[in-house]
Amino acid sequence: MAMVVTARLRPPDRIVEVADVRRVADLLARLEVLPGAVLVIRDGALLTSQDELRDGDKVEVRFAISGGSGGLMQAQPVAPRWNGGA
Amino acid sequence: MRCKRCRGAAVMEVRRHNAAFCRDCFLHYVGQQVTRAIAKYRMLGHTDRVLVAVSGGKDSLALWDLLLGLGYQVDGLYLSLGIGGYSERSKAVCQEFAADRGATLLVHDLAGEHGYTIPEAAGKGGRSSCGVCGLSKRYVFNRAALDGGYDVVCTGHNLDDEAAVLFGNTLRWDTAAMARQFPVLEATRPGLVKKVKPLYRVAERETAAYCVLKGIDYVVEECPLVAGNTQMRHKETLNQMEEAAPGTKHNFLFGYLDRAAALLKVADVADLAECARCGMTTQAPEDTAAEAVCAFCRSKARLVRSLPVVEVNAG
Repeated sequence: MAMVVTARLRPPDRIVEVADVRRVADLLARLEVLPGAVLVIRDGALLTSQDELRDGDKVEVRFAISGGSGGLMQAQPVAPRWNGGA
Repeated sequence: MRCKRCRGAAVMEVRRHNAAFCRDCFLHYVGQQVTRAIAKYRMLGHTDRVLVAVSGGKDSLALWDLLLGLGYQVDGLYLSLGIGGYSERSKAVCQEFAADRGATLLVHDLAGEHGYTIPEAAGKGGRSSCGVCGLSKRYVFNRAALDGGYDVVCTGHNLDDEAAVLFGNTLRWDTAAMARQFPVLEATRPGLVKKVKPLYRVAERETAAYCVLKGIDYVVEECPLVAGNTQMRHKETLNQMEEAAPGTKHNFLFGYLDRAAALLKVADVADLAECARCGMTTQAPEDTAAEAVCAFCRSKARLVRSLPVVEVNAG
């Protein structure tokens, strides 16, 4: 059974589930989000790109760039769920 | 990942400095950047009465928190722009921030004081919503500071904002605008208040992290009118470059400030005059016989003329 992380992305507010991501950097790569444009928050604490994720984690991916989504998110909307495949 | 300063567990990376910090060392780092900015350009003194323009967003609230922490006499100014629930939520966040710290917040209202809201003004009179918003804010902040006897107005412009504006100005070779883009604008004549940008050394991801780490509740949602604006596109381009080469934005902005800004000061040669309608300082018209009217008064007159007339039944 694949591990799944639930990510709440905002703004604008949307929730996606991402499978098989071991570290924050993997999650952001899968979401096609620039790491320099977001903060990743778990239980109120900031995570670095190298922090490990656990099955069932709920994290917030908060865009920190005023006035937009910070990069690729506008051009390439996130699909509702990934299963780790291409 | 370890904190560069104390070797504890890091919570925040700052790639342009090839560093990561724990909570306390990151807060120290941000405070140090602001202190350096203030000292380098002699932005503020501890006897100055300071007004910080707050929107409810991460930058302005982080700035207010930092300045209070550094012991400055700083009040907040919130301008309600009339953008529906977004403005109401933003005002509430600012009021709560002020109440929690026993700080003074001045609240101004664009519709109540000047007869229009930003959504009403968008696209009218040849200005975008962001254009008329910026014009209105600059005017109201300056006027409120003068009326309130403040010495300095602080805004929450950060490193990303400044790099994006410089990028846009450079693409157009708008040398006059570039000459005015500086962390400090002195009050060069009566009617102008000194403006400073103490966050110009701090990236906006860092101001957001500062708020999270300090438990500052800021408005995360975007202004509904901002989508697709030019500055945002410039930020996205710069962020792509920054990802490939950390420090790009820092080098672009700081290189300009340290080596090019002084060369462009000669481009900023506008004569100033007093606006015939409101008395504030404005650019003198080229035709010396013409009446000087500031951009805000011209824009406001066009906007108010274009708004629908609402009939009020007397009695």
